[in-house]
Amino acid sequence: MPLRSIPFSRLVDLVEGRLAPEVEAQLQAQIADDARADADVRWLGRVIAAMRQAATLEEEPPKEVVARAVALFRPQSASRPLNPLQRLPAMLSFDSLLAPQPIGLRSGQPLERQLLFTAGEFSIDLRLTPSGTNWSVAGQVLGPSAGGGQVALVSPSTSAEVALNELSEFTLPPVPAGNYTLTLRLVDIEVEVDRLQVG
Amino acid sequence: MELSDEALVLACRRGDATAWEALVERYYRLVYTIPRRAGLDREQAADVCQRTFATLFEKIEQIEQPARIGAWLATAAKREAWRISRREHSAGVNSSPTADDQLAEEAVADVLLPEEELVRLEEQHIVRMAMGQLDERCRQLLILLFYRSDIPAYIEIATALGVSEGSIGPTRARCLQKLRRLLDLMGF
Repeated sequence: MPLRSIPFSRLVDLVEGRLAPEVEAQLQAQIADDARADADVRWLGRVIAAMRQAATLEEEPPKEVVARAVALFRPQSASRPLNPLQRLPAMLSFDSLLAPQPIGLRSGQPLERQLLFTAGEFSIDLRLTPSGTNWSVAGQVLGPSAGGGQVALVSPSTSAEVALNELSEFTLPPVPAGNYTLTLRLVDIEVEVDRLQVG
Repeated sequence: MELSDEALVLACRRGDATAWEALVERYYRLVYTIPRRAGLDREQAADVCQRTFATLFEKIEQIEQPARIGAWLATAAKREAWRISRREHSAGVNSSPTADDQLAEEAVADVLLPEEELVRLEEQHIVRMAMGQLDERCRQLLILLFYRSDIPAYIEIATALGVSEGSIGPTRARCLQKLRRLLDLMGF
């Protein structure tokens, strides 16, 4: 008796779990004698399981996670070989929002927020000030002489960049309130202030 | 036509920022899901993501098999997940592991996320990449049918897509065959 070809659609029904138990049992018996159908069922099992697991177990990361990873890239100049840039994550050491108010001082939201971060031998003094409906981010890098550099403020929807002056100070263009990554690119060192809440 | 993983890695080496962005877009979900499946919280998973891609950028010239960058990223993410998990439980971090440390790390990292689980995550990623190359009609149908834990009734799918209930079964088969051809090309 020649082998009967089992329609692919029927095999999908089997793997999906759409068949009644007695029909499934009959089909399984046929598949046991059909190498091609057996291979199809195995393939369908892997793929459909992958899709179902992805639906329940995969997780979409926040947009800023992707933006930060994209921002890692620095094209290499033709004149020097690719060298790893030393990256220092900055740690928060002072936040004026969390500092206790002196007794007798009227309570209320301060207009300017001051933050101090440290990263290795460097300190980054930041001042966040309301500017109309936006926020001004200004500051200074303190530490070994860097000989200039750039500072960039990046979020999934906004980016601003400015050069440091001769005193390693900077004032970025006003930006909307949001969650940003501040990156200071100095000579051979990059300092990153992660998850900076502006506003 | 999307560039292959190998083409993207080679383009990154030439300083192509759009290739880097495409590589991140292609793999960020996998790199983020691995630490989450290993039990890390969202903040830790974000750290794993950043460290993994930072390591990729630093080592991109040294990747021996650019075509297998997905497997490289999955392994790197698993190692970073273990390091961050360990950091939560002990003081001090070995920021420059030796080769012996790396072997020990892999053995212990298996406890955090067994190899077979990692393989499943990679397969999910490959299937998702292939789905992205299907035509819109097939992609919508297969998402409605299979990216869920229950078995949907055809009438529900037909209503969502604005087609006849009788067309679902045959179209499903054709779309799966198209997906199979794409996955074959990707070495699934």
